[in-house]
Amino acid sequence: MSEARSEKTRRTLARRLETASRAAFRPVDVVGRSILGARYALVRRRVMSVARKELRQLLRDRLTMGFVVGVPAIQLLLFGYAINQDIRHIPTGLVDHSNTSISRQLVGELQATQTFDVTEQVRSEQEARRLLERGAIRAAVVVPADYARAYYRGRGAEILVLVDAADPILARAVRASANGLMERHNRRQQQFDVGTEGGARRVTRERTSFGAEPELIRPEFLRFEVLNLYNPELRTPVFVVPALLGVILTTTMILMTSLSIVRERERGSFEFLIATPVRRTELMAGKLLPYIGIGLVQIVIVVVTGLVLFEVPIAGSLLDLGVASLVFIAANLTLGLVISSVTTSQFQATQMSFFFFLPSVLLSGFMFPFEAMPKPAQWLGELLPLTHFIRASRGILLRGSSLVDQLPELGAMLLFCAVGFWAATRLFTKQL
Amino acid sequence: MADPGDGNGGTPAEPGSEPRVFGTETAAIPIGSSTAGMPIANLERVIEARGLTRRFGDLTAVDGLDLDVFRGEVFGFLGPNGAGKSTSIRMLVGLLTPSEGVARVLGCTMPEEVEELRSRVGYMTQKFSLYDDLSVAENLEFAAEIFGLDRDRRRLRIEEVIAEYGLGPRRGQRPATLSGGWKQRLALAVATVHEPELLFLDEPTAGVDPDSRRLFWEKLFQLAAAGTTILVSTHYMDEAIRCHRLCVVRDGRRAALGRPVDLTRALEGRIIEMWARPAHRLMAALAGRQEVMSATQLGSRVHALLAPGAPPAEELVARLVPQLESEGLKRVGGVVADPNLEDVMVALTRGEELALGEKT
Repeated sequence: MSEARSEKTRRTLARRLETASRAAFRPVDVVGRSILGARYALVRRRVMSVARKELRQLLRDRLTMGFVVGVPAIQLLLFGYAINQDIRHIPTGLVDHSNTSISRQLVGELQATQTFDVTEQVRSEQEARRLLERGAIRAAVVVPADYARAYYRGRGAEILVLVDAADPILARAVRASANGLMERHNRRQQQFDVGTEGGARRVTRERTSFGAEPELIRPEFLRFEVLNLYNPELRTPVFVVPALLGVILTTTMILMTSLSIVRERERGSFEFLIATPVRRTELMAGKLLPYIGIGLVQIVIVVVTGLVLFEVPIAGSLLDLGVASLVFIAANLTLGLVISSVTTSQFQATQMSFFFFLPSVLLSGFMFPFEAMPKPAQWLGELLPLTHFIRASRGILLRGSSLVDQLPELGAMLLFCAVGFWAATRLFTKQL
Repeated sequence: MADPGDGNGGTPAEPGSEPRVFGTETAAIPIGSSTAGMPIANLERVIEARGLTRRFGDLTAVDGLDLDVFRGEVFGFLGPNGAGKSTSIRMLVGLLTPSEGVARVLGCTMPEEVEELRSRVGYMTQKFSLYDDLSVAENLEFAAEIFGLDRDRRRLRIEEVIAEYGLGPRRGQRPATLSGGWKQRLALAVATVHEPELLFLDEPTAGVDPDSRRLFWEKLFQLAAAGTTILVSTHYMDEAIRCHRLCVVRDGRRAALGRPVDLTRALEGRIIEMWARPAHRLMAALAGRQEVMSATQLGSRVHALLAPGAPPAEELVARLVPQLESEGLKRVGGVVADPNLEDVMVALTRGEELALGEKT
């Protein structure tokens, strides 16, 4: 059956070849058109043969195909959700010295803007500053003790708003929101006043003058005093450089380690290596050690450059930054090891590193304010070591917060390390 | 390797006769037993494998391999590509876990106790597996270090192997710039820098010129003489025949095991060599005959292996000469020839069981 068919195919092919060869020896016209035609056909055939071969190889590399299909989708999702400059729900500390119904009403209005999210009730401005330094809150609202009295006396109360201006976008958002609130608040008050006494309000000026008639005065309005902490000039480099430190470490550390083992696999030296007495953990530790050194060199370069060229303040201790960086480097290295253990070629390892790098940049708060991202994106961001490192490095460098303040971030990175190392030792075997 | 013909139908080899042995033959032990051909009396088992099997999905790469290798011998693994040589070696080195069966190497059970074994074993991979971006000396140093040699020992050994393998002038060179033969030498130097008791070589001379191969084998025998047991895989017949003992592997199975001379002897009297003009017609005529299991053209001659049930070789040649002349072939002649390893391989490929130990 199949033989008969192949015989038939063979005959058809032979017949076609014969006609083709007859055609090939056709005399050429003066312009040489058929020569050109033949040459074109050859060019096309060669180009197409290379293209077909390429496509075949591509389709066979499943991981690459996964990236071709998956990356655009994921990228779109990430970008679409993460890119949002509209900052909401800034964790805010409230210092309500007044603690009156009218001050609570103001806080309610503050919450209603959705910009502020009162997460902490703080007793003093000093404590609020401490919380800001630690990074527990990004803004604080201080309602003075005489708020209610000032309000009723029409003296125009002053509300202090402290904002972590290390992030200029956040600082601007807070200022805009505060201004908006102030405007609305005052306009409403004005309308109310207009409704009653023609633009003025009857207030009791002095409580001391017992029995005094309430005077009719034009009251002063509520004022928000926004104080930009840590980066009063709202310079962007100040905010970007500490984060860039993390981004640079992420790219180089993950890529270098992810290539390190897979390179040995590709070159064949892996087989030599695993037949030696070197133990699995020894091999991994030895692989990571030089990269830790490289990472530290990179930190020095970035910090010095940031200091000299961009005048980034170093508010905290450099030692603290060093320790946080070490933990972060370790986290990236273990991730690199995991990638190196599951991939079979340097090409795949590069792709996979990129696959991890992309959300790291987008969701860590490096490119877009973390507070502006929707909750699911934030959850994802919390899984990334870069998110925690950026928080820690900004805290230490810009706000002078200490390592103890950054323990949650440190803990998260250490957890990532532990999981990564466990996975790496699981996935990495001294066998073929 | 095939008996080289002179290409002109000149004087072929004389009909096969027992080679005269001067002095004592190596084997005092009966030929055909698994210990036959041992070079030394001390029969300490270095490798013991029973029913070693490795499957990759549906494919069974190695199927129930039984193996005994004794201290101090050069033991060969002969087989075509894909016969399971590399997989077997990798299981014995502990890089692959057997799907079934057990292997003990230097008294250690594989792969559980492999780590205790590492420093006593050397392994040279099929593909050149050293670091191209480290110099010759640096590669040696890395190997010596990772195998746990202390500083003084390391220095001494590195100088020793550099002198031994003539790497002195090339010590600062990168392996990438070395020729194939030099690369193999370096790889052997690296594999032996820690003085292993047992050396696994996986097709060490693939793609290397004959001169370098000969030199390489000289080194192997020097190592064996110094007490190193060597298990080497190859698909070169001229190398296989130099081994003390040989295991022929086919489709993952052990097809035959014994001294090379025993393997070829098993086919004695079944090889004929004929010549005629034109040679390709002789080839076709012989290949078509029932008595002939396989025929190979060597220039103007044809080397043929007779089927097990064929008439005695001499008788057949005598009968074939006039018959072929009557078929129009010119200048027909023939002799009974010596079997070589290629004949052994062909016979084994056709599923024949070699009758080892029939003759003494």
